[in-house]
Amino acid sequence: MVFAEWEWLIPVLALIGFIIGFLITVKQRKIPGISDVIDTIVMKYLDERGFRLNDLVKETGLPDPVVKRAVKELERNDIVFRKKSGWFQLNDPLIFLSEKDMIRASRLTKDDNLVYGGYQNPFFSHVELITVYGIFLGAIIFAAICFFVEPAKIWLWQLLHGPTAVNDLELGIFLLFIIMLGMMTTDAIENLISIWSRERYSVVIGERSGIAFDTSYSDEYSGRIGRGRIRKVDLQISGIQKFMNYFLRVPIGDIYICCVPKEQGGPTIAFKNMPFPREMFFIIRSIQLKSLGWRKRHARTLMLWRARGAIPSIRF
Amino acid sequence: MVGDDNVEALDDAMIEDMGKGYRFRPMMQAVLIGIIILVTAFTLFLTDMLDFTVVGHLTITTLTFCWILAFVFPLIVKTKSHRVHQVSMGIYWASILSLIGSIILLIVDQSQTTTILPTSIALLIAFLVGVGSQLFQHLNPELVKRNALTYLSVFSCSVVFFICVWIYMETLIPGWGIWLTIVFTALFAYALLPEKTI
Repeated sequence: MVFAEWEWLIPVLALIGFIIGFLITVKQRKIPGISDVIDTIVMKYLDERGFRLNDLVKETGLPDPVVKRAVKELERNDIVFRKKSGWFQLNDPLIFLSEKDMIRASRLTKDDNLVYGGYQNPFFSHVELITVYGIFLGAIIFAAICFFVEPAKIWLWQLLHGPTAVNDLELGIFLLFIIMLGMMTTDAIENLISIWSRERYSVVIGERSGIAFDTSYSDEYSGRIGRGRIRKVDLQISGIQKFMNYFLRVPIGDIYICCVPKEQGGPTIAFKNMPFPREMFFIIRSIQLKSLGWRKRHARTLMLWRARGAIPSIRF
Repeated sequence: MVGDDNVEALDDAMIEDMGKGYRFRPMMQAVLIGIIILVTAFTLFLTDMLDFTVVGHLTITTLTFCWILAFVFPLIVKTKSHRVHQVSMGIYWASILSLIGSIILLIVDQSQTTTILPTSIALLIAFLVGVGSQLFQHLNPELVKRNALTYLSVFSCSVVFFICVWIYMETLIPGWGIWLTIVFTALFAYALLPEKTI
């Protein structure tokens, strides 16, 4: 049997694959002038201030093609974007809204300087949606039972191939396919839920307009908290959220805002499962204290943090 | 680090990675990965898969380690550095190449002594394309954007996936196989299309 003779090749191939994967990403791309361009943008063109390529050429003193390439790279990675007028603008690092919602938010806050924007995590706000992951889990359990429990194995085999002797390898391949289908279905439904939910229940924070939020589906930011009305802001990350944040792509937490002191009967408005809650908390505190200086001081950090992972080390 | 045009070095210039506060410390992440490797090895030991004198066990062990690590690594290791990205890409290509090697060996073996049906090999190729592309998307979300190249790649993968699944489904449910295959391919393509940020 060829398989028996050459089986040792499989771990060797795995090792070769690891080395290939490791080495093709070893090269770090260098983009001349990108650092100067980033510095200039964060120092001079923060807070929705537009700029043109010529402005950057003048400010950085770099040749036109160098600036053009650096800006193109930043644009490709969604760090800056080009407006219809042809001017460029920095994508605010703490805005996690879709382009459509960003335009909507800008319009409804009368072109205020938006400093944070995000959607509630749909899965943690509606626990029933987590059952979507049950499809994947169910596929794994089904595969495990059918492979390891003899009667289940025979039942499935006879269902697929009639009353013949069970071939473990063939059955295993079919069960792998079932697991893959479970994974694909979960991923596709997760995409649908995210799209359906992300257009709703968004929260935006403007430098002057304060907090605007959706109070129901298809709402247009009818919920408003003027920055002068914010009395107290609290950040809470529950045990489950803390645990899930270790694994989730986007960390979540709850923000509670008190507009009128509780002793005077004031309600507390809760924004549950918001992305990057600590940063949201700092932003609210900043607009409450009318001090966004830290944001300017750390603009470069914020911008790079957003870009982190957005700039790939290789191109395919 | 101002003035450094090295794209990855720019990342290192971060004063503080803001996401870091929410994640496990790097040492804890390494410990968790170690625990998963140990649990996998123990499970394989319990099921006698570590007896490499039996044909197929070495392949199953290699594939199990590679694929479990490929899925678990990006889930646990949230430290964003170039080295981590290199390791995760290494594990990804190890998984892909070991599976490709297994499929080739099965095909070659097929010509000598019949081991499995050719339709099952087609299903295995569908699995390789399906899970491989999904995993690539999860490991490199920054490379998968809504542009012509992505749409072309998704289309190409979907065609291969469709053909392989159809071959299997047609023998399983003659006549109806194509309809199920269309549904599965649509799911595959939709799951693969890039998501918007957050």
